[in-house]
Amino acid sequence: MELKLSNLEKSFGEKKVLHGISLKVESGSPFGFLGRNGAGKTTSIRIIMGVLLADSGEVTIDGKPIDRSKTRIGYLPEERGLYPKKEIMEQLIYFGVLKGMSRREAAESAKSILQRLDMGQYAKSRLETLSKGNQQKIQLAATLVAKPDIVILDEPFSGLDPVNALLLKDIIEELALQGKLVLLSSHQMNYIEELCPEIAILNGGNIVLSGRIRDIKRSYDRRRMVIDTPDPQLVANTIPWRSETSNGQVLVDLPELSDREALLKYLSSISTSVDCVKVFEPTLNDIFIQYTEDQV
Amino acid sequence: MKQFLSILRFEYSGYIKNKVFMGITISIVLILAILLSLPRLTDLSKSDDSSEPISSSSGELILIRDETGAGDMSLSYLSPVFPEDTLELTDMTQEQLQDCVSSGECSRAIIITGDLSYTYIVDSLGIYDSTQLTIEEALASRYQAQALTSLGLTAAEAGQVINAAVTGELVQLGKDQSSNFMYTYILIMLLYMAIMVYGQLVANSVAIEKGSRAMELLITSARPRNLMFGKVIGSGLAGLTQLGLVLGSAFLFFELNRNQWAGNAIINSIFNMPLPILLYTILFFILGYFIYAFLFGAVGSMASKVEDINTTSLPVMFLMIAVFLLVVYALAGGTPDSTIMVIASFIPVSSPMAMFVRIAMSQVPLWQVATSIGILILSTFGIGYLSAKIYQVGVLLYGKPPKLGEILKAMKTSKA
Repeated sequence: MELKLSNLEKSFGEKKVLHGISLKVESGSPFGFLGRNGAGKTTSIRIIMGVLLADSGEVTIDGKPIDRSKTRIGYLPEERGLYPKKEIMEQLIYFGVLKGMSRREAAESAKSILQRLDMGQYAKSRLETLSKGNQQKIQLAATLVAKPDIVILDEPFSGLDPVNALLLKDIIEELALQGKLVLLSSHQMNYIEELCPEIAILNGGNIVLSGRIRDIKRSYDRRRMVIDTPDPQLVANTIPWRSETSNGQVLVDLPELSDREALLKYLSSISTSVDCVKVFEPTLNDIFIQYTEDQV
Repeated sequence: MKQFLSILRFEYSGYIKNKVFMGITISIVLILAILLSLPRLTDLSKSDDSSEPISSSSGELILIRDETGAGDMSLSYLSPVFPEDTLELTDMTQEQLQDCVSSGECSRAIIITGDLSYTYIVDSLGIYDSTQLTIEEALASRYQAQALTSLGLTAAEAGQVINAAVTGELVQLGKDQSSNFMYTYILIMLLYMAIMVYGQLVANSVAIEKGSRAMELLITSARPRNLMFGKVIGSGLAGLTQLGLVLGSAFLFFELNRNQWAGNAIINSIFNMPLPILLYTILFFILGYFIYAFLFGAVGSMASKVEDINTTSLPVMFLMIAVFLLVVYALAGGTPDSTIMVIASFIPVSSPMAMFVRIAMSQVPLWQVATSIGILILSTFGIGYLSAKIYQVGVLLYGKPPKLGEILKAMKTSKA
């Protein structure tokens, strides 16, 4: 399945929120949709969901305009909330039925997703009686109960403890493996980096960067090397290239790529032990800041 | 359609499963049952209390001091006009009589100071105390009789002149407003309160979903039109269920105690209202409810949280209160067919109450009733559609309630 946004434009009054964004997302692996607050992510998602109409541009699925009656979309909004005073199972069935399931289908699906989330015992509980983290899991269950073809998760990890975050990571990977199209929006870059091979960064209503994270990282200058050593200060002081220490590592800027061999020879010749030598790659966090820090 | 029905079912069951909602319903039913069974219960308690001697008079003691020296004559004129009370002649002074009334030994006292003058002594003067009017009529009769007998008429002839009976015949083409007034007044109050309460429930329900952010998921799961119509109709059905239980139990307990209420004209007028009036009440409740519930739903979507509801729903509440005051003014003034009421009976937001009062209190041409209902039905759909559009825009907006211009602008770019 391929979701494509083509030249989406959207204004609210005088304020232009989307300046003709284009994006292609394929099923098989989660896609990271990133951007600072107010960059236009929620507006884009609402256009995909059909809640808002774009001023121009279109949303297609496998080349055809999206038919939301046939393509089920599950959405986990950043602003969480269900019915605090209602039974969990009742709510999940309701959201399943709203998306076109029969009550029986919705009940079966709800039961199975609750079990997957280790929440089966709370089916008859009222939402308000659960802890914040468990409420978060119920919200995820409401997103997935209708077995959507497209899953859009906005800040899914916020409020989860590390154990539940790990469970969520597993579930997101399972969804991708099942062939669902998963769009993930988060400011927690470590999760995006771990889960999403491909990303797009939205800034001020424009896509400022998109592609595979690996390729993006490889596009950075590869003459900068990282050396892990027990005595970084000594190595940095004696190495014959421009260097500095950072986070207990030595960073070396080589004049040419071909100087890598010379670096390796040098390191094997010194008495200080060296644990690892690798090309320096920026983290996704670094890349994100670099591409979005100019946004007003 | 399936989505709409799911929303309707969810909303309706939400009310029916709500302990507060059902608690209030059951409490009202119980209160009505007790109130309407009260005469039977008090009858039973009286018959059980057989050891107590039955008083020859159920009324109060009124003392009379006649300074004109014709005490017996005064008593003969006053006794028939106070049939429930016990009248006794006394020689007490005014101060003693005042003490007697203050202490509660006697309920009232009358000092007849001349042929056409008297002093009435009472503790607190009740709103409906007509004692003075009764005394004046009795003294006037006595004076007239004395005057006529002094002119040579016998007492019997004088009595005939004074009590000369006039026969009249009434040809009533329309309705008897005085007999219809009580049930019309009660029904219009019920209509106003029901529309206001259930309309507010819709506004609250929307605001709760928005405040708890369940709206974020709802609006992406269902069409706004289905959400709005499902919510309004679901709440309306819950309202009808509650009203049905309350009115049904009221009629049931009245029927069970019909004999005990035989002497109460007001209660009988309410429960013996004509069937068409009851049917019109239901029809105008349904239509009036829809118009206002859609408006309340739209304003509910403007509130960021439940606490904002009071502010955002003010315009709709003011509108409704204005209509209610207009209608009650016309009802109390006996002018149900005034020009303003005729106009109001065709305007959708006022017609449910205005046309209902006109139907109950006067003769309204059938074409006017049909036109009013037709306009109301069409407007209900129109306002429902517009409200769904406002709702779709409103539920996505948080923070300060938006201005009308902003809503209209956003409605143009939103999807229906």
